[in-house]
Amino acid sequence: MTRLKLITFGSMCLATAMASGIASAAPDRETNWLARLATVQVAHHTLFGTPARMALAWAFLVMLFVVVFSAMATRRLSLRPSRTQVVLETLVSALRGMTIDAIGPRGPEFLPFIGTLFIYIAVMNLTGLIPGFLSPTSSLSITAALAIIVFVVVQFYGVKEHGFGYLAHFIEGVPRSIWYLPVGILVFVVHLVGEVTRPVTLAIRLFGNIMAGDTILLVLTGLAIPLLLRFRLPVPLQLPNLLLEVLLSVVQAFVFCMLTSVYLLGVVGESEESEAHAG
Amino acid sequence: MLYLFGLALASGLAVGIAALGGGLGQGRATAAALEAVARQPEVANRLLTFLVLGLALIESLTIYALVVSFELVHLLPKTADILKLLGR
Repeated sequence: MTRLKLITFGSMCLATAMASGIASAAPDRETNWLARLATVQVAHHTLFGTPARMALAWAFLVMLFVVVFSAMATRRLSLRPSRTQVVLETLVSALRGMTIDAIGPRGPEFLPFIGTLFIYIAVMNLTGLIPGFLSPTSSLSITAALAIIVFVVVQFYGVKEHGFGYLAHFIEGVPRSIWYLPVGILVFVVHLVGEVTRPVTLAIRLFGNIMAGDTILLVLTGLAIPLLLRFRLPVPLQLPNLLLEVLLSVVQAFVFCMLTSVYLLGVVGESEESEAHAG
Repeated sequence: MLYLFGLALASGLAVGIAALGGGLGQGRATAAALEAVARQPEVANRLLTFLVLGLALIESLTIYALVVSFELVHLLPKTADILKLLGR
């Protein structure tokens, strides 16, 4: 345990030293290595010009890493598992348990979707904590894309389960008589706004958490740079926040998936009407 | 000038006031969870899931205010530009 603590502390000091070196030698230098690679111009266009494109490039990098890692790790699965296999099996059964807790007995149907969401988002969040890397989720474009995917999947399952009577859900509880038409329209509009707000909140929650965390790390590392340059003390001021961010990255991925499961439960869960018809 | 004053004030107060409500909410959630665990220590693991989920949802309200604050801060001009404008 002491060796682990030493390694962690040492690598944090190294990261602070790296940041100080970059900041003092070349203040205008790009912050992540992919951006530095891409300062090459192709036909007068910089490769990843806008921040959104930069985040997209990183998202593809993370995707490549996750796919390659999973393919390599699941190549020779055996009944006497290796250490990697044990860890991955624990992860998958924990995710499976989460979907069953959240959605009920139909949970495992959605395990591929929700499991992939969790792994992808968690790895994306964690990528930003490595010095010289960027988290794709610190860009609203990426989180909005994920939220839109969730929205489309939820609506798709809604129509798949209930047919086009799915739209009748929006006028819940209003008696079907002409006098209640204004109330019905109001309820429809309110429900619609609520439905559209869900992906918006999903996107902003994930984006805000990760961007704020990365910004705090940036500011704290910046505070540590003068300490290193003037007093030769490589103090990793960002270390406590780094540990918090590691936890928060996984928690935010978990919250995203939990909310997705709850929305799926809303469209796929058993209603009283269907049970009454079946009985 | 009043516009810039308002902008600067708003960018600071936005997340400050939001954190107030968020802190109170999360305090109550944690207090309830602790009380439940004190009564029945064996449910601690099940309650942890609910607690973390609840805390993250409460925190997301403060995060919305943080995002607004970030946008406002980026709208503020640099001090050097303002001093040039004032002729100093």
